[in-house]
Amino acid sequence: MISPDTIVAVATPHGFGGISVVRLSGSSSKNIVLSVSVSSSKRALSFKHRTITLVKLKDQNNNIFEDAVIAFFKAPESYTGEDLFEISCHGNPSIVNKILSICCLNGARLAEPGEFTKRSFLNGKIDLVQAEAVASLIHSKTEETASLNFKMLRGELSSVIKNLKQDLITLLSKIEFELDISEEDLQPNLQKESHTLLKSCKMFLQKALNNHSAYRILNRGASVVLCGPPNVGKSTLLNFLAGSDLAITSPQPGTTRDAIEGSVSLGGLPATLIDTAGLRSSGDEIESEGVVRAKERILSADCSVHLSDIDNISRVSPKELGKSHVFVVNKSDLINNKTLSLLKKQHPDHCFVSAKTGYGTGVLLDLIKNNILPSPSLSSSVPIITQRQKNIILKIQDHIQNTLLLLSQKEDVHYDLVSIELRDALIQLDSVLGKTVTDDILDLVFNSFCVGK
Amino acid sequence: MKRFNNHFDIIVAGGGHAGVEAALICAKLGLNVGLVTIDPLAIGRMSCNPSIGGIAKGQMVREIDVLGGIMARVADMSALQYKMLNRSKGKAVWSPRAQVDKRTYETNIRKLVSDCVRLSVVRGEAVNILTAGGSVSGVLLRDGNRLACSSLIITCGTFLNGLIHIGDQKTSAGRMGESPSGGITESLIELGFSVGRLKTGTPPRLKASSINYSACTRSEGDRIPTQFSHFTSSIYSPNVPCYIALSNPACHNIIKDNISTSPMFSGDIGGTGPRYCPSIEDKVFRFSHKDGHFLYLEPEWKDSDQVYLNGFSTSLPEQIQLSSLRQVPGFERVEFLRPGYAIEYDFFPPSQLKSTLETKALSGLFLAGQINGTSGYEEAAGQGLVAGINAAMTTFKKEPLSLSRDTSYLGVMIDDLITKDTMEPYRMFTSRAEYRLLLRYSNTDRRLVDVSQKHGLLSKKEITFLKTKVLLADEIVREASASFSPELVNPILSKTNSGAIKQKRPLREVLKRPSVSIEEFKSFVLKGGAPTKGLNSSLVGEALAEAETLIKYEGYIKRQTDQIKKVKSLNMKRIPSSFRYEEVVGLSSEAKHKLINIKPETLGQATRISGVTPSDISVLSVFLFK
Ligand SMILES: Cc1cc2nc3c(=O)[nH]c(=O)nc-3n(C[C@H](O)[C@H](O)[C@H](O)COP(=O)(O)OP(=O)(O)OC[C@H]3O[C@@H](n4cnc5c(N)ncnc54)[C@H](O)[C@@H]3O)c2cc1C
Ligand SMILES: Nc1nc2c(ncn2[C@@H]2O[C@H](COP(=O)(O)OP(=O)(O)OP(=O)(O)O)[C@@H](O)[C@H]2O)c(=O)[nH]1
Ligand SMILES: [Mg+2]
Repeated sequence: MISPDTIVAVATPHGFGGISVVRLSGSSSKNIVLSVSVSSSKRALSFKHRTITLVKLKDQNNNIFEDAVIAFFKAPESYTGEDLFEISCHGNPSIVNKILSICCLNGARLAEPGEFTKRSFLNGKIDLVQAEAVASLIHSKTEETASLNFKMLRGELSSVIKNLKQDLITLLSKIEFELDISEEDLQPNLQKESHTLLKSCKMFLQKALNNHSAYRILNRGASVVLCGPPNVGKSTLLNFLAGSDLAITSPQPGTTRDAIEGSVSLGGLPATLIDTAGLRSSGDEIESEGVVRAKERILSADCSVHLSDIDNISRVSPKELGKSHVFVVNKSDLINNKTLSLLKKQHPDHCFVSAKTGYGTGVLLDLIKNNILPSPSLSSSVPIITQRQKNIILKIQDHIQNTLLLLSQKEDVHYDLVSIELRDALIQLDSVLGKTVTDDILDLVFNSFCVGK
Repeated sequence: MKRFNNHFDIIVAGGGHAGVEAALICAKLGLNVGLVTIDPLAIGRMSCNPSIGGIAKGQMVREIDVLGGIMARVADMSALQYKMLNRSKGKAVWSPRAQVDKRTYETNIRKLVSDCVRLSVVRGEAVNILTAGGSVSGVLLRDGNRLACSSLIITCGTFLNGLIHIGDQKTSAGRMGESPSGGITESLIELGFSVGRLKTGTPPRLKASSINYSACTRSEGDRIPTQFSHFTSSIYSPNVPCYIALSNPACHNIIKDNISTSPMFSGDIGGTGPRYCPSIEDKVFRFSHKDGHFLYLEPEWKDSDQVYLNGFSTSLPEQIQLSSLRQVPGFERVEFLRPGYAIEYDFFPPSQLKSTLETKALSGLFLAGQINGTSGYEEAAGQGLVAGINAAMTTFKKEPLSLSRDTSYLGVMIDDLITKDTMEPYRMFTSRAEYRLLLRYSNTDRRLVDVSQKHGLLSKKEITFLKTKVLLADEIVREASASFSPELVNPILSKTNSGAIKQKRPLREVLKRPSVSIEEFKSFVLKGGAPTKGLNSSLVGEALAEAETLIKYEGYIKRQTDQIKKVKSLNMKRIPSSFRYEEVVGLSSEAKHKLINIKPETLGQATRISGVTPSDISVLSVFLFK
């Protein structure tokens, strides 16, 4: 729920740095800034829209404690749509805290996470999709996702959704025309026309959904599990790929029990590698528990790398493959080149590596990446950022599917029901953009923000 | 202070469709009513088309019936032909319509009015609204008579400063052949009301004997008529045919060549006309790709020589009307009894009203009908009825009648009128109702019987009768939950090429199939002690169809009722009329302006004002309920 308070927060990361920026937004922000600052020049203090002013900051006892630069954005031409000040000061936590507390003493209150962006949304400066893009942009891990998020912030997804909405509204208006002004047969092709349009909407949404999973991986990074029988060299491979000695390795089977994680970059895509206990049935209770956990990891990971030893190239049952998989034969360094090329021919779907020498690991990383993010490349299509948006799109798909069913009836078409399905789809589309959101949904969206945004 | 010549509880000014409903319901509720009207012989006159009902309008006629009005009964007494519109497009939009005999209709209305003991007809023209201490005290007539009342309902239709256009000819009139009325507009303006101007049009009336019917298509009504009134005991339809002609390029060309002579195009008419009931000149221009438009020949009364040409509303000069029509097959030698014309008139933007149809500014003053910017008999009658009921409830100091959007088209209409901007004459459409699926003609009784009973709008016997029908539909649904064996069900299913069932199944599952009709299973669900007592076969058939809809549309009906529950809380939150929006920080200035102007009665109504955003609503609810 929005309130007329003036809010304040640090907009830069906490800690020491070159400078920090404190943001202040709300109707009384100007008064607050005036009462905490003193002019650095002879002239009296005044703030002009989109200009910066050099000031001295004072505390409640009128003691000057800092030089600062203040930028002012006048309502409604600011990020939040309200009067907005950005105070740049030295990047020192004690100074920042002092500014925050003095602002609060003068009537501001500390902002909730995401509250600046929430106000921007509530004041109609951005729509919900754009707000979510702001959240994602802050948390983006890769350059590719950062540029996608930036596109969304510029409203590209919003405009795609708006087009879709326009199509549905046009169709709905034709149907309402049919229901309300029936006497002349002005639309003989309505049934066919509706069918064609909705089919293409459906395909479009399906693409968006497909992109969603790929996009999610890009945004939060991939998870890759190393698995297979004991002693095949999973831990050794983890250590090699992560470039540090994370897991204990030993010639003894059953060394690894807990899942051990390490980070790698798959050609720019950040990934977490997970080393797991060797898969076998064991009398050892702890080892068995490790095996159970390993199997869970296989199912939840974006890709599972199934290792086997060059001496015993094993098959994996399809049930244990996980979302996507790669077969790897390790310890290739133990045999000569001739035997190796022979084996490669016999096992064309396996990737041959050596965790000891690093042989084949470059190819392996490419293989994993392609497995996780199949082409066509995602940036060219319509991405969907959040789980919230995905859930809504799924609902819209349902409505469109129902409509197609109603339209394919051989008897009279129940256009009254078609209209309800389309209206519901439109309501959902609106809620993607945040046009008809309730407070709880809003809170859900804005809680993923950090303070100061 | 001048003396009053006569005293009434309620005065209704204007004996049109709105005025008649208002006057009769007030009298029925026990009040002493004066119906002031210019020409007592024109009471209940149908100014335009000779039909009652139609899409969304038919549903309203039904609602008027359950709320104690007369339009449905009189339509049944005067019907020439019945037709259920939209039969192929889904149960929720089935809309009954009847061609009626205009003369019989008028005569029946006049009889009801003159038979009504507590109702006196006063011949005269109301010219000034009299007030005392901030509320209405009476009305002044042109002849100088002053009549006192505690509530005044104004229903002057298209008469206020009415101006008829035919080509460039202008005539002051309320309707063809009747003088306009003046004074009321000026009196309302003086009281601080804002006024607007609208226009509407009517087609020419043709001489039946000049038409070659063999060149037209005959169009008959339904063989089994659907009665409007629940209380019509036996329904009869003479099924008088209408005819359909088709305009052609030759006709359109004449219209195009002379378009500048139409006052609607030349800019001679200032008022805004309805988009959905376009004039023929509009149609020819907007649908220029169409080579022909249907023209419906509707008899104005039984064996009449006067034919209403539906679809050819126009304000072109008479000669152009005639010459263009003579290009149409069947009309080669057509003659007019009266040309088509357009009329401009004053209306008062209805955002100045409360949901009771009482004005916000002057207590005791109610406005209903065309004066509120609507068009159509049914819209007018519905408002007249609601205004009448509320004037009576005010007099009795009882709770006003409030109809919600989810229980009636009348509720939708009134909420739209008082909430939205009127840019053109308001006509009811099914798409105006967001809960359209729930507003069926066949469940009007269920939707409104309780309010009707609460306000005493029908007799005990009539209420019991309505409830019997509601119960019958419920009973049928219950019977349909019983399971039946394949031996009983499959022979019927095979008749409609519907797949057989393999084991005993509840009948309702079978009835959910789109191709299966409840009619076929009548004997399964109507047996035993079904309470058909007193219901004629037409109403039993309706209960059956209603039960079928409840079964077939179950999922969708639930979806709509769930949506209603979601917004219910907003509609329950009342905003005091004294609330000061000026003081709310954080409202957009557009929202503030609209809210101050409309003064919504509930938070729900506020959400429906254009320009008020969800965040404005959030701000508002913080201020209101914290
Ligand atoms: C030319 C024309 C075209 C129309 N076209 C259509 C159409 O296409 N579709 C459609 O749905 N509807 C149409 N209608 C509208 C329809 O006739 C009206 O909507 C409906 O009749 C309005 O009902 P009412 O009760 O408000 O007013 P009316 O039926 O107009 O009745 C008004 C009554 O008030 C009386 N009166 C007026 N002023 C005073 C006064 N000062 N004192 C006392 N009595 C007074 C009049 O004598 C009259 O009896 C048309 C009407 C006209 C005139
Ligand atoms: N020559 C050779 N030895 C390897 C290679 N990879 C692993 N080893 C050896 O194989 C043995 C087992 O390695 P680990 O990495 O502990 O094997 P693991 O799969 O993690 O075994 P568990 O944790 O018991 O399931 C160790 O002695 C490693 O040194 C390789 O590529 N080449
Ligand atoms: Mg290990």
